[in-house]
Amino acid sequence: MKKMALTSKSEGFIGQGIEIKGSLTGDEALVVEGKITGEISLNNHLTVQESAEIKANVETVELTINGTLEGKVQVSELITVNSTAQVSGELYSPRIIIEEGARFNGHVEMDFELPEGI
Amino acid sequence: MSNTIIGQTLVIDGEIVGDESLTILGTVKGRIELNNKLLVENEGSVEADIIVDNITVNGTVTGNVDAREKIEIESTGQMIGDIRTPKLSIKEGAIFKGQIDMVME
Repeated sequence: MKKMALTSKSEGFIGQGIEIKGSLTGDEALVVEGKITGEISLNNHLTVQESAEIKANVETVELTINGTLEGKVQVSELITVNSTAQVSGELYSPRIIIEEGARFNGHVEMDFELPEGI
Repeated sequence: MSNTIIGQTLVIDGEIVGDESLTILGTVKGRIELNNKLLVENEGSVEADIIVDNITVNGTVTGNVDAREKIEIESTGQMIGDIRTPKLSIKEGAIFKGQIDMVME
């Protein structure tokens, strides 16, 4: 059944036609093509696709940005800002990659102590 | 691909608005307004007022539901709240508590 396939994937997907306002927390990988305004706290990998518009404070283990993101971002492992990305805000992570072509306005800090519980 | 999936470990507190189909395996609290269909899977838990085209409940839904087309409460489904819909099915084994208003199509 379809359900089995979804469950085994253990991954969230927010499509282009969806807009979420509020807080989003979880342990699974999440791919976003839609809009999110609020807070995101994820113990996993967050991927912001080209069509996505995120205006949120983000805490995650790994973050890949291909789309638009605005906010304060705290990542415990790696942030990748790809060439199609538009980012404004603050990025905190031990490792950060910014590709040529990406637009970035704000603050970057690569060495910091994470708050407990991430 | 345009089916949004809120996976098992995800918890959303707030508002979800959209026009594509949505499958919930995790937890959603707040409000859902969808010009499409909503599927709440067995593990899914929703505590929200919902406006949707049609909804299938295999998991738990608490809140008022306004469906433009159809509400289906499957045998594993549990639903508490007032519902408004032109078409309704409640399977054997399902749990439901609330007011039903079957509007004319």
